Amino acid sequence: MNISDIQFVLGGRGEGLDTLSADNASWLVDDIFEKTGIRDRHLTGKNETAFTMARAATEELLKNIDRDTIGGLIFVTQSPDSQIPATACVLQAACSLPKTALAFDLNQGCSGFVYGLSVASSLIANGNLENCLLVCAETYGKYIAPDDRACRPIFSDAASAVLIGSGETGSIGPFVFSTDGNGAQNLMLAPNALIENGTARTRETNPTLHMNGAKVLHFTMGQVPKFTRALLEKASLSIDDIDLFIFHQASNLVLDNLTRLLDLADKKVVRHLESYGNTVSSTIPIALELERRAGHIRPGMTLLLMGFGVGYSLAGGIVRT
Amino acid sequence: MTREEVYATVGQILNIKPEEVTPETGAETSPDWDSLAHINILTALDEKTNGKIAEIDDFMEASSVEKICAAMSQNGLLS
Repeated sequence: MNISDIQFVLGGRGEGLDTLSADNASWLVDDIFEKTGIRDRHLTGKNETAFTMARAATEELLKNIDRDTIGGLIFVTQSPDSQIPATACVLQAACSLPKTALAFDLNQGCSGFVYGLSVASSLIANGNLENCLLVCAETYGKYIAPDDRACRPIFSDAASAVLIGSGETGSIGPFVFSTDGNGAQNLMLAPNALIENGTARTRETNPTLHMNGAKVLHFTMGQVPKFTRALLEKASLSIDDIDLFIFHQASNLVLDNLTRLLDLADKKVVRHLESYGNTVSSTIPIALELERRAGHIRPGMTLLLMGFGVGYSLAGGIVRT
Repeated sequence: MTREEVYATVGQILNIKPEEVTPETGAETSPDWDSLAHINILTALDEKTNGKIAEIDDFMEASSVEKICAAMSQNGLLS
């Protein structure tokens, strides 16, 4: 079983540090860049949505694949165009995928790609599917206030499409997961009656994204090293057995601290932040594809993937190419 | 770590002399103690304790020097 192909698209409206500086004169963008490692972000235009980007990425992927052979479609998003119906169903029709295909949405953010990978690989391993499309798309940028120093310099909009197949080479898994909803309020759309009141479920209008960056960083530093070690133990591997660590591309600060806490060699920790930003669920597939294009991923390698953040939610898995 | 080392670390991040750091120095008393400074304090102390700060569950609730020292003391990180 393996990841046989990846395509991605970025939001069509580029935004650099100069724009942040022009909009917020008090921001020290050089200091911000040092922390984030992000120079350019890609936001959606008025006519771009999670669905339109997902469709574009999926169509790009399907250029080299017989779409009639697709067995399943998992669509990962937290910013769907519509709550009802599932975007996966609309995407199935828009991309003319078989009516026999399984299709559903998966609501996770930074952990979403690895979550989807675990579900898709399980469906293939137990014989229910021959292959599965895993499509991730987020438009967090639509929910960020122009003067939000925590969110605006980081988040970027993108979609990725990945084909997971039952090929004879490679393997996917095992996986580890962690959930701690006590951290939900540290990265959420607000106002948020569900989180703030516990039971209310009224629909909020014009919510904006809020992040307590310090608390999310602390969660990351406390939990990601712990679950990385747990995953290695579950897979009977050591740090030295891993060729590349592909963590969720949250920010340079996060990757610097994970590298330090796990005592990893810099060259093994993949970084693709500067020109792409934090694209939430798409950071790992984009990083995988960029590493593949650069010739850094070859057959027989062992990769450790780990997504973490909003929820709090964490998922990690081993991929052998 | 010693209490003096905590004061020196906080002073370095807030750009003030260690002797000007007091137990009350924190988010409510120092305009320079913003979210970025809090992050810098977290990572600086974590480096100096070999990753032990990151393991303290409610460390980010400690928004003053006094609260940081108390959290570190409760977790055996302050000599």
